[in-house]
Amino acid sequence: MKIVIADDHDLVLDTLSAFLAREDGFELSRAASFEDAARKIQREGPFDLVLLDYGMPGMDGLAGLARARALNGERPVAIMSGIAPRSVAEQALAEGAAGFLPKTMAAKSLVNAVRFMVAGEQYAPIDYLTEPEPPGRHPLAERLSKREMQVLGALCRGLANKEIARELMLQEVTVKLHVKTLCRKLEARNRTHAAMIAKEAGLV
Amino acid sequence: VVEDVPEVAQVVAAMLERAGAEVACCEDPRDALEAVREDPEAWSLLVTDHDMRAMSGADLAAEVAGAAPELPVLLCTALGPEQRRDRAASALFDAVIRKPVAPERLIGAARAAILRREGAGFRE
Repeated sequence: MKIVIADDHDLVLDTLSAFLAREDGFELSRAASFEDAARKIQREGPFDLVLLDYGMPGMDGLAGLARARALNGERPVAIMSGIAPRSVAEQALAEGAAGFLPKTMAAKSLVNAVRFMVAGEQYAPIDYLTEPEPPGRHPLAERLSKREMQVLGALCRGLANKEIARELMLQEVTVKLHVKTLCRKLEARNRTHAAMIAKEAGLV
Repeated sequence: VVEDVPEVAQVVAAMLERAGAEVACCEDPRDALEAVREDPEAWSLLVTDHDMRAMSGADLAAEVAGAAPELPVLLCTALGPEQRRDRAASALFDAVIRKPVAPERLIGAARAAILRREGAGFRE
């Protein structure tokens, strides 16, 4: 079974590869961005399964799903994500994804889901889809203070600390600390990653 | 404001903001320490909780005293002096404020601590 896994986080690639490599019959390729995955599909495809991270560069929301499906012929393409809201999972499945994999999945479930999807079935994590979601605000937004949300919004517009400070009428050091604390809450490596997470989760 | 319970942090921050301060809250004391180390001159006051997972308020105050000796530090704690493990560390704080924090007590202590440190600066 030929599988390509595309994710911009090496850690995710390493973990998934390690899980799947323990199983017999999986032949894994890795890609670090959507474009990388698209090239692999064109050159080495079709794959028995294409696994795409929802938030990686080039995905452009679910536009990447449609493109990858076109490139991979009739073979399955699935979406995975650590933090996408449930609506994204539902939409992905409605738009023909072979499945939606939350990154919180246990290794064994992951392997089963992959086999299931390769066999042509659609995999939807029932727990994830039926778990009640707090109405209104996103759970990640809940953890951020009002100030941190304002700074995050400015980060997503590509503003530098100095510009954010001017806009919010704060000192630059204060903005810098807000960036630090919001990155920690979002588990983001840096400001660019924080903006990416915010966009993926529909926070801004 | 260093406080690992976000709701408490927001309340304390709101009190200080109403008094005209510009506030950033840290749930992890290490973020505050890093911020003070990066720009020791930029901060006027540190308000910290005592019992936190990563580092106690007293440990934080000791580290901050090394990085920014002029920075006044207030401790907000639900624990009385007899319950705090490191009572000797009280010397590290400009004032100790009992939780639940009363706004006038917090603002009064904050103003006094800032003025005292600034005053000390002028005499040098």
